[in-house]
Amino acid sequence: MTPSTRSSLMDCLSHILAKNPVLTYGMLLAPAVVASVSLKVSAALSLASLIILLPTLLALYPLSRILRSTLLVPVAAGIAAILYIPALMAVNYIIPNMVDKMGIYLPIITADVLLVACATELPKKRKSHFGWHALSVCCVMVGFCIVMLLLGGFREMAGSATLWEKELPVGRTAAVFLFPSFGFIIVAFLAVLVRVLTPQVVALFHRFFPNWTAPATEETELLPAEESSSPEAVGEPQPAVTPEDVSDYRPRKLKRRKQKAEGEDAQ
Amino acid sequence: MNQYLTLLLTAVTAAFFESCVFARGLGAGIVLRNIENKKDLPLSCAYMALFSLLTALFSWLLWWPVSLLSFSNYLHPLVAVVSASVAFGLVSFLLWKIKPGFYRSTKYLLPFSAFNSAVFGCVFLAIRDKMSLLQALFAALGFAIAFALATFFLHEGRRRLSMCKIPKAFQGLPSLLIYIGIIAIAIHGLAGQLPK
Repeated sequence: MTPSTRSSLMDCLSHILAKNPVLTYGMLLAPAVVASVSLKVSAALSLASLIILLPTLLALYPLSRILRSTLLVPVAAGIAAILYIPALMAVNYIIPNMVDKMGIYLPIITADVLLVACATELPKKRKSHFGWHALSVCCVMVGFCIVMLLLGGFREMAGSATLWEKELPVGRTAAVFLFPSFGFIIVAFLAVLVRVLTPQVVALFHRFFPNWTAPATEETELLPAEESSSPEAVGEPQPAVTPEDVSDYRPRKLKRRKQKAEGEDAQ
Repeated sequence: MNQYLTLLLTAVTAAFFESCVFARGLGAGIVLRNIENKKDLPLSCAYMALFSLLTALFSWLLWWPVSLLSFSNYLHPLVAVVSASVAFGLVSFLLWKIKPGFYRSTKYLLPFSAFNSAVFGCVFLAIRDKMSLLQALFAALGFAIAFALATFFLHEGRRRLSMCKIPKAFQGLPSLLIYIGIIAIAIHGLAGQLPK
């Protein structure tokens, strides 16, 4: 395996943890924050999102070669809306009586910013390969499902003293964990945990695989694009474009402002 | 008189007490994206209001025949997507015809304003609660006001957070999410005090 392939592979895999769609970019936030009040609901939402978003994001790759970005967004939303029908059937069949509990957060997946960002930016990136795109999409969805299951499990245990609707021997419960407001705060702390754990995971990985290149960690991501040592900058083949690559929400201006303030303090 | 009060209450509740962003998490992703560019904030809020109203109108008209079908429960997203697509196409076409320069310079905002969870959430709530056309439009107006308020709060919050010394791990999205959570608790407390 060549170094560029390894780098691309690591970059794709980093969408599970370091570039998680929910914890790093705030995508698919509504279902994660509000609807994930129990493990069963989270599992149902994860299953539905896999059925809806995975084929839609994969289909965007060939469609982006044919359609303009202005047309691609309604087409992508349309595909997602059609896939909602089998998703609802599958959820009803596999985890019954969950549709009412998910409320409007199941159909809302069809119009998430993840889909729109991917549909608007994919036509601009012509060099990517379908294999890398598919792997990135799979990793994005795995990352989302892990976050949903973690949130659902934790909130159900803390808020209802149950897990998968089975009673746990827990003395006290705090129903506040089931409120949307606490959903935001829990997601924030989970994001912090991921930021803290990512370098540890990378270090552990390098201990076992010393020849492999490092994935883009939080540290390198905080740098502006022109300053980073991306594969594009060093002339290597780029991995597939993912929705996260195209909409970095992190406050670069904030960082520059803080650096400026620290420089003034030092003077 | 009673009907007008109901409509007003629908809009006020949607705007302040059941804010789409803080109480329901709808459109949180798009607000976090929008606050990156200060100059686009007013325009993105205006587009959001326009698309909310148009999508609510078209979806109400479309849902009326669709609701007669026995499998209409499976068609909620399709109704919303068709309505949003019609609104998106109409606004894009009119802007392109009337003000082509303005359309070219701002067209990157249109897809995110037309297709987002706040606009679609408004449609799904109108369908779920079986709202009348006027109620749906007033709810869409309330959602648009709530979206604009949330954008303002988060933009200002982010500006103020940038002046504070925050631990490195909390910088950026985590601190902003905690800020949203605290505002959501405040709104929940306010709404919780309302007589039922």
